[in-house]
Amino acid sequence: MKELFNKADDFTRREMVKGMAGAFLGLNIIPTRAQAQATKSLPGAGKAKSVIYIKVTGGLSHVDSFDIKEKNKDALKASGALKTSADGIRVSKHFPKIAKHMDKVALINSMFNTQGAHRPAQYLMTTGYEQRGTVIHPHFGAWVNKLGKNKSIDIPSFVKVGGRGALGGGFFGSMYSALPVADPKIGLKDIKKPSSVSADTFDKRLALMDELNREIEKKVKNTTTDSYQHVYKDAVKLMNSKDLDAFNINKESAKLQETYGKNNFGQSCLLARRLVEKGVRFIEVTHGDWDHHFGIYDEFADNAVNLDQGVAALMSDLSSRGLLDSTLVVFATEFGRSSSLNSRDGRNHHPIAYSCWLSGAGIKGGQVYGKTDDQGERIVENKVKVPDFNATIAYAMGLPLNHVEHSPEGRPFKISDKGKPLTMLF
Amino acid sequence: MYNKVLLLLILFGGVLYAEKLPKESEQKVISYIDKLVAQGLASKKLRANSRVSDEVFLKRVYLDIVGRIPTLSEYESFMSDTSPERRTKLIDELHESPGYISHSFNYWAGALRAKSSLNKSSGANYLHFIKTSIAENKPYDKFVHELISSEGNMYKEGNGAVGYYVRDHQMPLDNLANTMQLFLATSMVCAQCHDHPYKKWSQMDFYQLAAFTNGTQTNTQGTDQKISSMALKNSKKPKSGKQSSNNQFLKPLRVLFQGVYNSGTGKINLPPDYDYDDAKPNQEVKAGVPFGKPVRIDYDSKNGAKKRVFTFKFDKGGYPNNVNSRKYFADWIVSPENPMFTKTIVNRLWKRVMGIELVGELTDMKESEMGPNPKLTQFLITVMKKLKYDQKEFMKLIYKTQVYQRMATKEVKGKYYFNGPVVKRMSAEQIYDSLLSLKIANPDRDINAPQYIEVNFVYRAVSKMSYKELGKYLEDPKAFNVIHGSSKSSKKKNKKGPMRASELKSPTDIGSMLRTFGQSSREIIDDSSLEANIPQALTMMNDDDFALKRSSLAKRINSEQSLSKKIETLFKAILCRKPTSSEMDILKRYSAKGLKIEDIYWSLINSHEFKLRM
Repeated sequence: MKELFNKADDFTRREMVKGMAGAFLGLNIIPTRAQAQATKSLPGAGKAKSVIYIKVTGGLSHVDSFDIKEKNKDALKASGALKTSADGIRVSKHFPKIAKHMDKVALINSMFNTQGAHRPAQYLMTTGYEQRGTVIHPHFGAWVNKLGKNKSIDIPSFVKVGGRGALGGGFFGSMYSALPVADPKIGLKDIKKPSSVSADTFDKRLALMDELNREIEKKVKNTTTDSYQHVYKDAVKLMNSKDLDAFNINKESAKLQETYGKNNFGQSCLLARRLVEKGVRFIEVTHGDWDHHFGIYDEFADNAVNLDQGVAALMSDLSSRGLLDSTLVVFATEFGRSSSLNSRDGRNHHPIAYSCWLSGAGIKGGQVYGKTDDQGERIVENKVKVPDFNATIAYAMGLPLNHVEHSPEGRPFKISDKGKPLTMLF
Repeated sequence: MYNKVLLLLILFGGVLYAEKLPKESEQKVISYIDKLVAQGLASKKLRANSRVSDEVFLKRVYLDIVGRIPTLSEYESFMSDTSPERRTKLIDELHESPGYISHSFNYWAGALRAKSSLNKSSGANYLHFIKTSIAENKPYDKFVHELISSEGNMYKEGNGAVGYYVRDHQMPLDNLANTMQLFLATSMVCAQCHDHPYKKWSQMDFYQLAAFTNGTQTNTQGTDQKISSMALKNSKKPKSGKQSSNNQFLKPLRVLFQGVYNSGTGKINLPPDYDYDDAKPNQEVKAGVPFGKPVRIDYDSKNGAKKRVFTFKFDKGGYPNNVNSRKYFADWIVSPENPMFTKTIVNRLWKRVMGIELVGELTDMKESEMGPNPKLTQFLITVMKKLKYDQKEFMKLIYKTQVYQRMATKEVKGKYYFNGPVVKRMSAEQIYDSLLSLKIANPDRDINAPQYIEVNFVYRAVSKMSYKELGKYLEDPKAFNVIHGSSKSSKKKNKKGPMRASELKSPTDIGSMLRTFGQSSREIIDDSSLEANIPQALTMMNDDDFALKRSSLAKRINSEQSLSKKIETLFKAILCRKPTSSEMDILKRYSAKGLKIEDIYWSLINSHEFKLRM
């Protein structure tokens, strides 16, 4: 069998693996046209042209933010409870600006992560799979690049603003990775020619490079030289692209920049909105430092200010431009924090019950899905596993949930594993 | 068969510990490799590629052995050497240079997924272990055995091998799957959760192997309750006695407990969802191997405790469940009789040198698989065993063959019979280090320089402390470091200036040039990538750091009188060859159009050729 494998060219080999995996594991390999259309006709499916994924890292305490518990005295005392624009929904006093948008939000108070450490928990959130030592799963955004790229623009469909961690191509390869923007004020790295080089000289340099490449190609022309030929062409195209404008937040009024907050996170949200306007499909923005093991209330309120301001400004801006109908805003953290304070006035990691929320793109606002007990410790209603959450995002984007891609070893993977979309939220 | 035995006798004679083959035998082995390759080609009516020029050879051996292009002076020195032995001489010299350690380290760090920062601990001592093993040219079987049977503290000097397990903290099954892939080219990943769909491995096979490493513990905090509680007593401990908060407070003591505990129980319980007829869910199974010579573990309860490799300073109790099963496992893996071990490393090293596998996929081969030239494979396996797993000597033999010194094949489709090596894009590290060698005069300085490893220092100091001192230390570990001068030396470290990729963080951070060019993430085996992407082109075109004015070459170029001379020098330094006459015409034409020497420099480092190992 193996011998046969080695003889087969790449294409047949891939097909064989697919066929075999299907036959042996009873998997549905590729959705039929009918299935894909069936998905599309469900309510809300496919309305999200873009997703802005607000990645809140460190583990945001749910009982101090979006899962208000009357009986959790410590949390209530320190974080209070604010009425919001949605009837019957309250949030903590640290998020007064987001409170005004809760009528547009579907709040999930029954998130469940299987991982209790930051990196593995974030890994599950972003890839839909538990981390393994033998394969690197593609980030959700890489799946978007693969299955639902917007081909009408020069910018890839997965842009990551700020934050650390991998660029997410996983076994798809770097072609599908995020285009990284380290600092929203600077935009893309190395996107401009060195200032000491004139436009004319730059063009001549390129022309010379091309001629020298033609010379060497007389001796060596292969897939490597061909791919660099393409990549240089695309890079130069991007350098001169009018789409690049989307990365320039200085085109926004000073007032709007203020509204978002003159800090890295606020400006990242503003950049995300510009990218949405341009047609980028998946933008990840990160807000960190929520890992409060010690003295949580020494830092919590301060850390919430930028997050609250940036997200609220984004929601207002998207609504007023009519973009919220076609944009899904995802507010997600990797886990919550223990419902009781530890002896150093901190809260420990708590993956078994926490909160995330969704807004826009057909999501019905002003609703709460799932419920925890009166301390916020355990889920008592409608547990939402991470793959379900991700499937909901994929569903909103109209991406095929049953589509299977294979790792180089031939193992089958789907955009959100076995997750089932929460269609009732739409 | 008779011929082979006779030949081996002639080749190796009575040499038992063949650290270096006698010159005469060496030449015979090399010629025999060439003969076998020639036979393989002839059997398919294929022709070998023609012999490569000195210039192409030069760039290739530098990249392959020391991981960077030759500097201008190295180019000039080789090209002026007229002795017929010059290629062989260079191969030998390069293997003894620090660049060999650097380049080999990059390779093994990628294969072993070795990182500077492990789960809750520093990987520095582990990386140091790998580098030192390369520098000492530790036999490969010994190296692997030390990793698999490693035990003890992570930060004890010389004990870095335990990083092999600490790296996979709380992922023992993944660690096992990786061990089988890396050292035995046996891919059992699927069998971790269910019988392999189209290979012979069952979930039972996997669990029997997992039994060998089961019981191994990594980074257990509070292993020694006594020392923790005594240290707490001597410090201003937190008010409440809650376990979780004490653990946080005791964090600085982790250096004492980080490492690998226990030698393995040799038993494991099947998973709760085990779904096959040969056993029940949760049933206990004993260690066993799916191929090779069966292993019999002595399950006598005294075995483990008695033979324990390492005892913690604070250990009191025995370890009755441990039977040293990891050592049995290591013995089985590295045994010359293991049908996969030698074949796997031979396949790997052949690919490192030739750019293409000898047998099959690096991490996934069949026991019966012998590749397109089985006689060659068999011979190289024998050679490796005879060389007592001396990696360096083995690779030197291949570098010295005619087959290596031929023109490289542009692209391989289907079975390859080794007409010559294969063209590759340079690895991320090779590109980075080559740019470095254009930038500074001596790119190889400080490779594997005697290292000050801060964690080792802290461990040494802390392990000698009294309870009272430990209590003080818990109150302010940072102040403690300053007193002992560790901060001083880390400042010194920062002054070193640009260094080879091997001396940077492993791997470097996302967004770094190395990662952009595909440096391995160290998350899965051999994860480096040679793919092109847009950010690579943007960096090379627009990062001013790579400009001629920042290069040590600038002075030399400026001192050249004529344009032709300047161009020629640039070509030698960057592409390791003289320009052709048609290239010279092109460059003169662009020069007349106003392009300056720095523009030509830019075009050359951005060219396809610069990135290729041909």
